[in-house]
Amino acid sequence: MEPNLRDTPLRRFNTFFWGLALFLVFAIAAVLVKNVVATDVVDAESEKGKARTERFNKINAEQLAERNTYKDNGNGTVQVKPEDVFGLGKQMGLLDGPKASDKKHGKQFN
Amino acid sequence: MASEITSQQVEDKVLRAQIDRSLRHPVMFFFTSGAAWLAISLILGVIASAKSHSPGFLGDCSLLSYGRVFQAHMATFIYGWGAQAAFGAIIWLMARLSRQESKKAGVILAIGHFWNFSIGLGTLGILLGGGTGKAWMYFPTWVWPVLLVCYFGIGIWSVIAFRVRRGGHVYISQWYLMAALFWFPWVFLSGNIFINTFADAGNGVMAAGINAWFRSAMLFLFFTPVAIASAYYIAPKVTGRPVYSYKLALLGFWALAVIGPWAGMQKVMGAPIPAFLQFVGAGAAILFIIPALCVALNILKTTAGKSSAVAHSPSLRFTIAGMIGLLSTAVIGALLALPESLRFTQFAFGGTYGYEILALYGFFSMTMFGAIYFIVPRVTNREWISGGLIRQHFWLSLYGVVFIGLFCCVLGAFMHGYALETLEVPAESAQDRLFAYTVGVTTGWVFVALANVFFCIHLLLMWLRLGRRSSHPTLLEHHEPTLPAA
Repeated sequence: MEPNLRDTPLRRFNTFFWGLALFLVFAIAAVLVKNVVATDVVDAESEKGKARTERFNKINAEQLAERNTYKDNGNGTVQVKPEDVFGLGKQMGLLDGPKASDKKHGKQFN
Repeated sequence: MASEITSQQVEDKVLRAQIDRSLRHPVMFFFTSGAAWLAISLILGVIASAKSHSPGFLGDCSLLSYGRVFQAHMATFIYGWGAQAAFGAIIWLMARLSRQESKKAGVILAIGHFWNFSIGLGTLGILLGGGTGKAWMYFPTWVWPVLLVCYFGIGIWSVIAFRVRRGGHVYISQWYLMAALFWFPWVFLSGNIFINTFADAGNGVMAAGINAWFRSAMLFLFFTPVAIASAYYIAPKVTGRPVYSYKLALLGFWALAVIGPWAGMQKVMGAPIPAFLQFVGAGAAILFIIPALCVALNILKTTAGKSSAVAHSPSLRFTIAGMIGLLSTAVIGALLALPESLRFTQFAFGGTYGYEILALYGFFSMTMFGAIYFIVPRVTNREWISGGLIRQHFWLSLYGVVFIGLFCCVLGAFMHGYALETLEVPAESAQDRLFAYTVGVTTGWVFVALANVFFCIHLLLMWLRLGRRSSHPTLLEHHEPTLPAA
């Protein structure tokens, strides 16, 4: 049988590393596509999210300002900060959780 | 002169025997473990399908809930059976066509074990609830880099065999094999990186589009070229004729290379991704008919007039059935890619599944069975034990895949989709229409699973070298009773 002149260790070695390089090229190409080509892409969800966040922050600030304002409602009631009412209620024990009664009851359970 | 030719033939025979012997264990390992995964996959497919019409079936076991079993069924089908059958065929065909015996059979065998170990752990991960739920990427995300490294360790030796081949001629099968070896890392790496590493961080919609492309690209750019390479090898070998038209073969190759990468995104028609991608995908899926026709016509013309060889040779019979499967896949794929069809099938049960089963089993697996029935007797130096087992494998596979793929899944999907689109009738009527088709899928899988359990055992016995010691191949002959002379 004629000798195979193509079959050399160098050719085998080269092919192995070219194959390995091909895998790396695919991976690098994917990273490049992601990071270089896709940087100018406008994400519609994020763009719409900006307006939503702005509206949310504005409403939140207005509600907070309204909440922290003392004013006379004019009908015999006043608006105070919730902390003031809850602080007083807490001192008076109004916010305590329910407890078991120490009084005996006369009920019979089966 | 005559003695010179004879000595060359003897040298040729010795070389072929050396190549076969050098690859016996890796090839048999890939085929046998692939067949075992196929049997497991089909049993999981039976369970998943049974749950689609009887949800209470094995309903108390969380490991076997529908979502997990279906993912495990498809994952083991694609990476357990499909990829390993392809690896076995690639390394043997490339070695034979390049006339190079393998010098790294041990390395390939060892890496083959890693591949199987990863598939095993990945399948367990899916059943324990760790699957990703992304089509054709069902394994937990740590699996795909391991599979990619294993693929390199298995495939690179075939590339080297091609580079150091004897003689300058490149056969058409080698074109397809080299293309598959090149396309797999591109598709597998790009698809997984963009979906599992990048896209989930911010763009889930495009991830669905890339996933649709990935499924199509794996099918058209890996499984398809391997199966075609096998058909182009086996048809001329068994019939003893050259390929009918080399020009047609090259046209088919370049048509696949140009059209194949564009298909896929028609599956997400209507999603908020660029519309041209969806329509280019639909166009490519329809144009896939061109390479399919080139290949199938070429193979059928090569075997024309050799009907007894087709009837008697298991390899050729399975290969021809695979070519019919290729044509069916192309036609059904084109039909399902039409926007008018997608209206009914896109969200219906079984449209995509039926198409994928038709492509993976009706085309790819049938062609691979043909390759296995051809290769195994050569590498084991034994003949198949039972022609009857091969016959039942063929008929159960053929009827099973036609019944599941064409009738139950594709037709069932249109019926289900039509009922879903008809808003005047209650939604329950859509489920009622679907019921018979889902029962049909389960019944079909039971028969296909049975055939492949026996195929796996047959293959295992061959690897143990318990096949027939005979110089006559096992043929699918029907012996007519001879009447006594009058």
